[in-house]
Parts: sequence; C-alpha cells; structure tokens
Amino acid sequence: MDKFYTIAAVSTPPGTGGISCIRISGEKAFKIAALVFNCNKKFEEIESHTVTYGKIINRDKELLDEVLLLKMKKPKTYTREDVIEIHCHGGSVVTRNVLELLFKEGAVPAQPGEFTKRAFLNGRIDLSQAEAVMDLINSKTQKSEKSAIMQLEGRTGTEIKKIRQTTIQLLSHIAVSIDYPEYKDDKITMEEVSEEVASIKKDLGKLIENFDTGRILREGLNVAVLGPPNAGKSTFINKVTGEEKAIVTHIPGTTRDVLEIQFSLSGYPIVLHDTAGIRKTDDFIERIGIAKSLEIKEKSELIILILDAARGLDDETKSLIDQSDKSETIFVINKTDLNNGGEISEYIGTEKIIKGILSNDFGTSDILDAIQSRIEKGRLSIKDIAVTNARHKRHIDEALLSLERAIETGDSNGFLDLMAVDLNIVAEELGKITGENTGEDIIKNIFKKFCVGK
Amino acid sequence: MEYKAGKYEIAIIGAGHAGCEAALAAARLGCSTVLFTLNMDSVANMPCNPSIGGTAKGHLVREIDALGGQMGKSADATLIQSRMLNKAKGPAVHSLRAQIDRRAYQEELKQVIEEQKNLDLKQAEVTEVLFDNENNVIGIKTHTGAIFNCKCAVICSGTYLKSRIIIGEVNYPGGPDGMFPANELSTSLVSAGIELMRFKTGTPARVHRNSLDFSVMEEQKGDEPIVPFSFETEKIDIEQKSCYLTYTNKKTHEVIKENLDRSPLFGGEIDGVGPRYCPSIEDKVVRFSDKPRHQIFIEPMGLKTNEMYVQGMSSSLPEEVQEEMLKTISGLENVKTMRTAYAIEYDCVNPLQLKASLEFKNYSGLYSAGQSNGSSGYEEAGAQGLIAGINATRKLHKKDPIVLGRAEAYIGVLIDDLVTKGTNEPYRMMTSRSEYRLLLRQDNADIRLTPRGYELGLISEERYEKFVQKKAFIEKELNRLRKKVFSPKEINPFFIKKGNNEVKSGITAEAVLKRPGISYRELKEIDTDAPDCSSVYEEAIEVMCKYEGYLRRQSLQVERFAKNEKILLSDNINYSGIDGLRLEARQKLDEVKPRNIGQASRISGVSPSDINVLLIYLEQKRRSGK
Repeated sequence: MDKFYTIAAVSTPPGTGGISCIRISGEKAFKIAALVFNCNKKFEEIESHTVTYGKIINRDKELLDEVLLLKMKKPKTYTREDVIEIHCHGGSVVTRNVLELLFKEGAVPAQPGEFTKRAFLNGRIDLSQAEAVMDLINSKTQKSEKSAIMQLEGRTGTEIKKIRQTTIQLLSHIAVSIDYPEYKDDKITMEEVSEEVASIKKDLGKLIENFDTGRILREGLNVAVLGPPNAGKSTFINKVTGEEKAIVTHIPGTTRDVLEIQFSLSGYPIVLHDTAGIRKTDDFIERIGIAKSLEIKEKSELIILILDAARGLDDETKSLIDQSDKSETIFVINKTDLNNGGEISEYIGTEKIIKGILSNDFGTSDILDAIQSRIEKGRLSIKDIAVTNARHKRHIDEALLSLERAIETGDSNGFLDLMAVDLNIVAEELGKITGENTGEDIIKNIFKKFCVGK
Repeated sequence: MEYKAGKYEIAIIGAGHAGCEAALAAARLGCSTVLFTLNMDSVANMPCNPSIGGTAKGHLVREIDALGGQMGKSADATLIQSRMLNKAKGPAVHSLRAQIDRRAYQEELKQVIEEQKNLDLKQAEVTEVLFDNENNVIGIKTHTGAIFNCKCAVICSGTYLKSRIIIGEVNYPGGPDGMFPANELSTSLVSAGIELMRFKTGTPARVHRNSLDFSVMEEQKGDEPIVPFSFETEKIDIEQKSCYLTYTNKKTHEVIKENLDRSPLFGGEIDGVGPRYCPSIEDKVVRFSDKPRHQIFIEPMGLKTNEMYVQGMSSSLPEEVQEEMLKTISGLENVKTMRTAYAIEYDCVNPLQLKASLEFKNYSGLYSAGQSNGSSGYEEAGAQGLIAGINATRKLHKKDPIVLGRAEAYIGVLIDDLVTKGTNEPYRMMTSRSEYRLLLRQDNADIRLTPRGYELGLISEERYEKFVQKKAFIEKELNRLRKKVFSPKEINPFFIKKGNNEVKSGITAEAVLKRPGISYRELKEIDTDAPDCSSVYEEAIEVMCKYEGYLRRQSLQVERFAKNEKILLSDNINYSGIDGLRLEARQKLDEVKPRNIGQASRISGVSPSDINVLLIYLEQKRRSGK
C-alpha cells in the first residue's frame, strides 16, 4: 500500500471551466503546500476547513497563480488524511505548472481512483461501497490509459518509445557482455556504452526542453483558415470571435495579411490564423499575402479549408483540395444556400465534410466541435516534439537523473553492472509513460540480437 | 506384482543435481530419506558441460553453499580449472566458473551420499507416486513392484521423463548419456492430474583429445590463485587444465546449410520447446546468417579421460553431417568423435502448479525440483533441490516452508519466476533476471544466507561462529574507515602517485576509497591501522564502501518492494468472484494463487489497477471479518 506517499492530481476535468482544482492528500500535504503557498499569515496558522487567498510561488520566486487554498486537517477529510485543495484560476497551463511544482516538492502523481481508494482503505467509505470503489478504479484506469495513449500518439509518443527501445538495446548488449563474458564478438566496449548513454540523454533532454514553454499550451494550437478568396474565411473568424476583427467585404482578396486571433475553446488555447485567399494573382501585395498563407499552412497543426460552393469545382478549388493533407484538414463547404456543393464534396472524397452558411452562423459550431474533437482524440501531429503532461515529465526527469549517474559511474570506474542499474531505471521510467514492462524485454532482446549459448 | 519394501519419511526420485541436494538436506535435517537413481553409475552426472558456475550460476552455487548445501564443496574438491569472470565489469557480476572432472565429481558426491546418516541410495526406476483419497502422498512404487511408504516425495526427474534422443532422422526413446529413459512415471503423474510440458534441449559432441590440434587454437588458462566456491574451502592448490578456443567458418556454415533439410529442428521432428539461450549450431547459423563465425570452446571432461567437450556445437543433425561439419573447424580437421551430439526431448512439470515452497498446490507432500520444473542447468537444479528437500522436512516437522525473497537470493528469483510466471522454455538463471543484483553478490552470499542456513539446521555451530566473526570484522573495519582521517600531508603523496586530485583538508579513509581507481589493498599501503585479512574480506569491505551510494539506493528499492510482499493472500481466495478484477487477471490469479500482493503484481496479465482492486478486496474482507 502506498499510504506512505503524498499524492496530488488535478481533480477537475481537463480542458473545461475557468477554475481547476488540485487536490493533495497524505502525510506531507501540509508541508508541501506550505513550501509553495504565500499568504498573509503563516501556513500553520491557517485554520482547518477554511479558505485562504494567496499566491503560488515557485522556487525562483516567480508567481505561478493567484489561488484559493483549502486546508483540511485529518480525519475529517475525504481520504481521512491531511488534504489540501488549491483552486487555480490561470487556465490549464498554469494548473499544470502548479502541479509540476508540487511534484518537485515531493508529491507523487495520484493513480486513477487513488483518492477514493485511500478514502476506503482509511475507513472513510462504507464497506457496502467497496464494489463500487473497485469498479471506479478500473473504469478510471481505463479512461486514463486511453487518454494517456492518446497524448502519446503522434511524434512525442513515438520518440519516447524509440528512446526506450534504444535503452533496452543498450541494456541487452550490456547484459550479454555480463552474462556471456566468453563471447568476445558480442562484447560491448566502454566507448560504445558512453556514446549510447550520451545520445539517449540528449534525445530525452530535447523532449522536455520545451516543456515549460510547451508551445501548444503556451501559445495555443495553430489553426490556419485557408481557402480561395471570398470563400468565407473571415466571416468564420468573425463569428468565432464575435468581433469584427477581420474585415469582411464582398471583394475577393480583401485579407492581404495574416490575422491572428487567440481564443479559448473549452479551455484549449487556440490561435486562429486568417489568411489571404489563395489564387493566382498579379497583385504584388496580394501575392505576398498568399505566400504568407502558405507559410502559415506549413506551421499549423490543423487546417480549416473553407471552400466556396458558389464557385463550384473550379481549378483553384481542385488544387487546394489536392494540396491538403486529409489527416490535418477540416473541410468546410460554405454558401451551400447558393449551391449544394455536391461536386466539391465528391472530389474531396471523405465523408467528414462540414456544410454550412457561415454568414448565417450556420455550421460555425460544427467547425469548433471538429477542432475540439481533433484535440481530444490526440489526432494532431504536433510539429514541435514536446512532452506536455506533468506526469510524463516527472518520469523523464527521473530518467535523466539516472542517466547522469550512469555517466558519472562510467567516468569513474566504468563498471557495467552499476551502469546497468541506472539504465534499468531509465527504461522503467520511460516504460511508465509508454505502458511497457522492462523485465522480459531485455532477455527477449538478448536472444534476438545476439548469438550466444553453448 | 507388488510388495511392501520399506518405509521412509521422504523419497527423492532421481539422483541428479536437484535430487542429491534434496536428499542430503532432508537427511541432514534428520528425516529418514531414500534417494532413487535409475543407474548407480549416473549419480550427479553432468550430461552436458563439464563445468559448474558461470554468470548468475556461480552466484547460485555460492548461495547453495551459504545455506549448507553440497554443490560448492564437491565442485571445489573436483575442479580442474577455475576462473573469476567479469572482474572488470563491477562487483555485482563477478562470477566463478570452474571446469570439473566429471567422473570425479560423481564419485565424490556418491560417496558423500553413501556416508550420510539417514540416507539410503537405491537403484530403481520409480514408476508411480501413490496418493490417498485426499491427494496426500503415501508412497512410491518402483518398476520391480517394490512399494516404499513415505510422507513426502520430491520429483527430480531431470530430462529423463519419456525422453527421446534425436540425431538427424534417427530418433529413439533414451535418456542422456546413453541411459534408459523413465517411461512410466510421466503416465502416472498425468493420470493423477498433473500437467506436464514437453521441453527440448541438446548437447554437443565429445571428441578425442589426441585428435585435436591445439596449436591453432587460443589457450584459456585458469586464474591463480583459485577462488573456491564454498565459504568453507580454505584453499585449492592444483595444477589447472586449459580450455581452448576456436571458431566455425564459412565452410562449416555451408555444410550445415546444405543439410538443413535433414535437421529435425527444421523438419518439424522435434515438438519440444528448445531454449533460446542454448541454440544448436544449426539454429545459430540460420538465425544469425550474417555472422561469419561462431565461437567454439574445447573443454576437458576430466583428468583420467581424453574426452573433450565441444561447447558451441550442440546439434541434432545426422551423425555423418556432424562429422563433416566438425572437420571444417580449425584444429579439428582430424577429429575423432567419441560421443555424437544429440537433441533430447522430455516431459516436465508446469511449474505454475507449484507453491513457492516447490510443493504442488493440489498434492500435499509432493514436491518437484530441477529440470523437471522446466529449468535448465545443474546449478538451477541444485538450488531447487536444496529448497525442496528443506521444505519437505519442514512440512514433516510442521514448520512453515522457507521461501527466499527476490531481494534476498538468486534462488528466490529463480523459484519466484518459475512459480509466478511459469516458463515456456528451459529456464536459465541470468544476472539480468534479478532486480536487486547489486545486493545479491557472490561475495556476500554468506552474509545474506548463512544465518538462514544456521536457523534451518544445515550450518554447523563452528561454521556459524566463524561467520559471525567475519561479519563483525567487516563491520568494525567499515566503521574504522569512516572515522579514520588522513591529513593532506599524509594522503597527498599517495594521490599524486595514483594520479588523483590532491586535497587541502583532511579526508576520511572511506572518502579516499570511494575515489575511482583506488582499491582497498592499495590504500593499505599508507593506512597503517588497517587490519590484516584475507582477500575475500578485502573484497567485501571494498565493495560495501565503494558502492555505498548504489547499495543504499537498491536497499531503498527493496524496502518499497518488500511492502507488497508482506500483504498476504490466502490460498482459498476465489478470484473469479471478485468483480472489480479484469477477466484475464481473475484467470491468472486463480491459476497462480499468489501468496502475497507482491507476487500477484508480477503475474503477467495482472495490472496495477487489479492490484488496487485486490487491496480494496482485502480491506473489505478484513472489515467484514471484524
């Protein structure tokens, strides 16, 4: 039983609401909270079961968020342990940073259903509810596994898996050298080990380099709105923002620069890029605009391609469709009051096309839903590889620490058995992210890769 | 035809490495014991390598010795070459490996058994284990109809159950080294309801020493001085024999490839599951076709024989192909084969049917140990035999069985793996199977296990006394090293000599020793207070001091690990009735019946959330019991 640890987690659902609540439970809950929370009195003097206004300050004395903190002394708490609730106001990025800080100060991420599990084990929850608790653990686990896997899809996940695999390879090679010392051909040299360890460390370091400033969460998801001139791109943006930020006229080519509009979609920060309509043109300024549009398209994670049903399936429309990557494009056919857009949708060929009359606000919410669903299903290939999940970050930090130790040991005595202990921790920590188990992996790999044995 | 032949407390079926340890442990702990062998001349035989030890296996031998077992002592008495492997790879993986005079080892062990009080050695094929209506062991029956009553029986049948020898297209019922197989016991076990598996292994040819040209091979000499396996062996002073290294080549591989269609392995003749770590040469050539050569070691079989073991050439190709293939190897051009390589298929017990005590879950008093549990290797067998023998006597003495933990011994890892995860190929011990291998070193096997052996009754007072002194000596010296301070004046010349950074203020002896490249023995040059002690002590002191940080971290991991090992699960939990568990977890838990939460968490198919559900379930039980 892990009663020993103090656990922390965000207990409000992700991506929604203005306030998110972090819950901490366990022996060290107060101690950890006292380290990060600044208010006008001493932490010990805060009375139990009261709300206190204050600031979350990190180790560098930087303000992370203004929060309300609930201090609840055991046993009159949900878990019957000391519990702290921190109500954060700064949105998902800030909440994540606060949680990360709590982990740094000694809390560990709560497993799915762990608060409830503790509530039960500590006698808070009635025996008759035991079955319900068991079900909860499994259903929550399934959900979180699912969402973790989703977060992992895309290049970050692939990259972590790749690094873990490299570590397993290295461990196998070390294991062969140790377990089959008589096989000279398969012996690993210290240079090989050092080189590999350094390269693993470099790759892993890259993944979290962008963590604190994780682009997606800091700047938001880049969504480019593309389409031929006058297809309704700016109309869409205006509907979304509710302001006339983009100028809408009936003269094709009005938007000559790229407009950026930031807004929050159910808590997810989004940056919409309105672009100049793409067409062949002799207008110099417009051509610059078009070039910029294409540039934006390149750096965006998601494209909303708005096509004009009234134009029909002309060459420009065709070429826009041809150039789009279906996996990162949401197709919209606008102005279906003028033409049903049948040929266009046939040409696109996917079933998921949104038809609408954007000027009448018809179809706007469908587009927004589509964006959100893409985010939540993790189907976006993030252009910057970065780890954004605080739990994942923690495992990578542990792995990096072990790699440093391995390097130190390699430099001081080069004992493979000690380095293998460190590398095992690396593989295990990364395995906790990818959900893979180390044990048999190494042995399997030995006999796959090396020809040893009598 | 049957007749009442006698009565023992414990019967051991099979006198290989598992059987010998089991029988000796049982007899030494005071139980009247009978040990059956198919052939008096094959007691403690080594049908494969004439060697004991090696990585992880050397650790097992040390552990057997630390608990009061026999293997280490008999190996010390009969070894003809010894090496400490992995000396440059770190303290946890130093491993002893010795070439053994095979025949001398057999004679030595047979004599130890013959001299042992409470122990009878009999030549007979056991054909049946007898049970009462409640599946308690009540006796065994032999081929000649003799019935011996007993309360416990240990199956140590090695590779003999319904074994079949395969050499190319030729195959016939037969045991290893030309012995008879045991054909009837399998049938009786199966009809009693025990699940058997079919495994496969193999051994290379033995060739005549005089037909080999060693001048083109690389000689491998033993290490001097010899480090003994047993903590009780003071010194081994012998003239060591050499091994020789040569390689296969393109021609060898061609011969093999041309004849693959005649290989039963590739032709589907062999059903048994072969071990990955003991591939036949044809396996190696096919699976690693890009490798231009494979290593071949020529090892002596003993002092009074010219037979040499050709390690690396295990094969089940037809005899004439083997001959052709051997002759392609450098130094073997004129080779004279004495025994042909063969593959062997045999029945063994699915170890998931066993408790960690090695007793069958459903058959009270019946134990199984060694290759009959799906393991491989003499050392793995000996270790299990020792534990099964001890636990059979403890059952009779109404004491709890001993179960060694994963953080306590390689033996613990071995048995836990077998009974928790099962195995689908012969299981070989490897250092990488142990999570806590920095703590499970061969130098500290006695510190880990001798107190256990003493409690059990397998370690003499005299030996224990010596052990306590050793432990106290080491602790005292470690304390001294922590306190002893060198002034810069004293230590800097030493640092300069060793190419180490000088210090400006005083430094403890411990801190000096923690620096890279400085050994305890070297430190003694200037540490005039250091006590005299043997190299074994020196090694232990150096390791404990130098790697203190790593050892401490592993100890912390062990503490965390131990928590779950302490939460016990009773045998009669009906897992299929616990709704919160996933279906796969229910099935696996019902099959394995883990003894604690820790073991449950190691079962493949049981997830962390299933473990949480189990914890809730236990709490529910506890509260409703109140």
